[in-house]
Amino acid sequence: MQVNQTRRNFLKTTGAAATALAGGAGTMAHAQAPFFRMYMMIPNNQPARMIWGTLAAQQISKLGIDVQSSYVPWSVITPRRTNGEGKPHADGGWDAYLERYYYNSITPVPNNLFSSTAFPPNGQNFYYVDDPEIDASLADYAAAREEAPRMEAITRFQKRWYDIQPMTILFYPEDVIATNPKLSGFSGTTFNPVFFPDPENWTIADAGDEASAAFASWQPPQNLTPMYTGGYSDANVFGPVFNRLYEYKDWDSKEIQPALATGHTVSEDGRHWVITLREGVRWHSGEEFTAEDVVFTWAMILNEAYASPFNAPFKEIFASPEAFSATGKYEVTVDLPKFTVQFEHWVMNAMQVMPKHVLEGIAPEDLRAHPFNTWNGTYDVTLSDGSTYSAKGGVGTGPWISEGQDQMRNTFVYTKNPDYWKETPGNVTTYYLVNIQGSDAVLSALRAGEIDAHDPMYDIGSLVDTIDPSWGKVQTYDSYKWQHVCYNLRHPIFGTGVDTPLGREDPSRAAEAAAYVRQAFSHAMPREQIVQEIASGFGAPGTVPMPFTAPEYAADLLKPIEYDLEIAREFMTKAGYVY
Amino acid sequence: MASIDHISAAGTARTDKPRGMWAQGWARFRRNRTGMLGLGLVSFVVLVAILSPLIAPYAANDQSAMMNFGSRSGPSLAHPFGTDRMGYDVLTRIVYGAPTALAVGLGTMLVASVLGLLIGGISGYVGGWADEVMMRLTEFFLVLPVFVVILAVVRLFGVIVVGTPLEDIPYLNLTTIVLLLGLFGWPPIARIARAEFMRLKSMEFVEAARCIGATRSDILLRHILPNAMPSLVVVIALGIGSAILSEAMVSFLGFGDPEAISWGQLLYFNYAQLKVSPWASIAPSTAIFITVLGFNLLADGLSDAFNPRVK
Repeated sequence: MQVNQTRRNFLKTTGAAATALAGGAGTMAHAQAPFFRMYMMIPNNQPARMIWGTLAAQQISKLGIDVQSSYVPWSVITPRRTNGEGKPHADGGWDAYLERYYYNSITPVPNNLFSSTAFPPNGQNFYYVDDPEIDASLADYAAAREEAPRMEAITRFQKRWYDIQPMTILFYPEDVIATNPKLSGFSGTTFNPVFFPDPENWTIADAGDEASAAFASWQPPQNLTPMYTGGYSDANVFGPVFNRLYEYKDWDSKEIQPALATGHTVSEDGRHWVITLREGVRWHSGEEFTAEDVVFTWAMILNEAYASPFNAPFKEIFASPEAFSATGKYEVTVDLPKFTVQFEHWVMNAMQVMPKHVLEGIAPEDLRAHPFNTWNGTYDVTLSDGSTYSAKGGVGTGPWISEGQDQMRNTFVYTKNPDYWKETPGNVTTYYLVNIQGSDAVLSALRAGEIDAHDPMYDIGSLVDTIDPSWGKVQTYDSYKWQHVCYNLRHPIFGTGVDTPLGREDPSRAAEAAAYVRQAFSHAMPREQIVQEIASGFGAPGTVPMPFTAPEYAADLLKPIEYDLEIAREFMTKAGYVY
Repeated sequence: MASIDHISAAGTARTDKPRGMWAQGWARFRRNRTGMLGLGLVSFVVLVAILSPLIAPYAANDQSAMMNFGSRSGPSLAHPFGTDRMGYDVLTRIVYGAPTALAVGLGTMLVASVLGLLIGGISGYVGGWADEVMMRLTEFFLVLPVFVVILAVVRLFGVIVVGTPLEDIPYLNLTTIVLLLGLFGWPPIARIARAEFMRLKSMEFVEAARCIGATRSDILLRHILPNAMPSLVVVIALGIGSAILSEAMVSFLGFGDPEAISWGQLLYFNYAQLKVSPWASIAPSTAIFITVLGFNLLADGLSDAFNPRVK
């Protein structure tokens, strides 16, 4: 679509020379009072996202909506979405904001984000997606043991999403990073779709047997206890310390391989599971890893007192702690109320196991401020033999031992675990994770040799031409993520639709009217331009919350959503708004 | 007849008013090359600001370059300063940024001047315990970490006003920044005002006014204030440049007003692309440089012109 709206053209076509002095007048929507006001929070931690966030707000305003956009930190957004009980922004909740999202497992599990059983504060459906068809498709998806019905259900989910657009999926980013050219072993990464460095596999050429390496992560973490978060900025820090029952072999194959579990058996109906655990694994404290740790971890997430955002999906999966038990020192038996794909692909593959001997002595209300979660300071852990272990942060079974954080340098320090249960190939024995903000700053640090790699949040796509191979090796990854504008689906206009003209006229059509408004938003987004112009071509236009390279993505069904303001206004008209 | 001519000549001489303080200052200012350069730069920026809707080649929020896949393009005939990362015509954004910069500079110094004059004036004129209290208050404001407070208040204010009639104020975020810069920018003005008022209140012409029965407000507003103004104008002119720079810094930290067109924000969104599209960073930097330099040179010129030691 060719757009050429210079001031002179505007004057020529409208003849409204006088309005020219008003400045910024360029849209028909400005000629009348706005239909309604909405607040859009744009996270202020990344200029690229701020750019497409500002663009998104301006595009929506072209539909005759008064969009009040603001640049805010996540510390403002998070409590509004979590504790706002779905209230609109003006009442202490929220209307719309932007984020980058992903599923916490390679196999997509949309249930945890979009099922009506996962509303906050104990679930992650912050958007209040509450659609019977989506619920039904997700339930069928989770319950399907065979490939065909599973794919049918997930396709149904995507079709319904496409039709009602609960949020506007802007694009699927391709991750671009630059690494130290002397660094090898970096491609063997994968920790769920969050980009994960796996520094135990790194080798720095010409650095001897005891090399040190540094990884840059944009955002400082907020929580470092795995059950509190799935966010990249947190997982980057705590990830090297912990293990899961199963892990991903590598990013290319996306195959699962045993980690803390060595295998499992499952009954015909998919409800009875017996998981065999690896023997001889020790926590960093020296305590032995056993089935009690696995049971304790799951029970802790199910305990509402800990306020884990995974509580709601865990309840859906297990119903109660009685569903699992330690049936041997190295054996866990699980009896699920019903088969669910979430157990195998999310609980076993993506959830870290936490240490019972460390956490059982910490009260739920104290955990968030405890050094286990903050990595600030040291604390003593009493072991089963009566001795004590002085811990500096998280205690896990993983390849790296936490040495705490150096707050002056915004750095987290790790040493390689000499007793790790698996042989790892790298020569890096000391690892630093440093918080650096800004894409130019991170590239300067790489060039100066201060870091060896960085996470993909820096969006360096537009800067790859400035990277000289002598100091930076550019790598790209299929991110398995998407960027979206999300809406509070309890908002009376674009959520429930009760305050739209159509919804007021015929309350039975309120939800339909809200979907029209969201469709209008969606058609107002110039996705291709965002990908090409802001993301420098590293990505693809978005449709639904599904990694577009995943086998589950319904490519035949999901046609690109056309950027056309006329179509957008037609949808607004369907909702009862008159231009 | 000769005597009449003489009287006439003498009468003519008597009707020639002696040049006032401002006229003398202007005469001295005109001889100051850097001051005139400053005036020229400021006049240029003011002119651009006034004419911005007419001279900007594109609409203020026109992102057609992005829609046509032409963002971050180099300078061309269609876009003399190139386009930026957001698809804006850089020249247009620079032109539309001028009124914002001036509004910030002048608005900030209006608030700061009123406060500074009030506090400094009362402090200097009244003296005693009032002087002590007000000067300690001034020192308190001088040592506050202004930027931290501004960033915190901007954030807090953005939350508080939601759902209130206040948020209908256009450019509320920018207005808040201006008010805060003004609220924290008055101490230097208060100090100068205090010194001037203290000096002037014991001058002979003030004593004379007092003797002929002038009221206190007459003395303050008609005798002391006009004579204190030259020194205050200098510090105010300096403050305008400083306020423009401060707003650019706040915007550069990502706390600016998304609705406003600010050079600082333009810089914020484009600085990371300095190597790829330098024009988008250089242009706002240059605009800030020219404007701040202009006000600083103007202030220097005014200082020289109204400093009685300069002949």
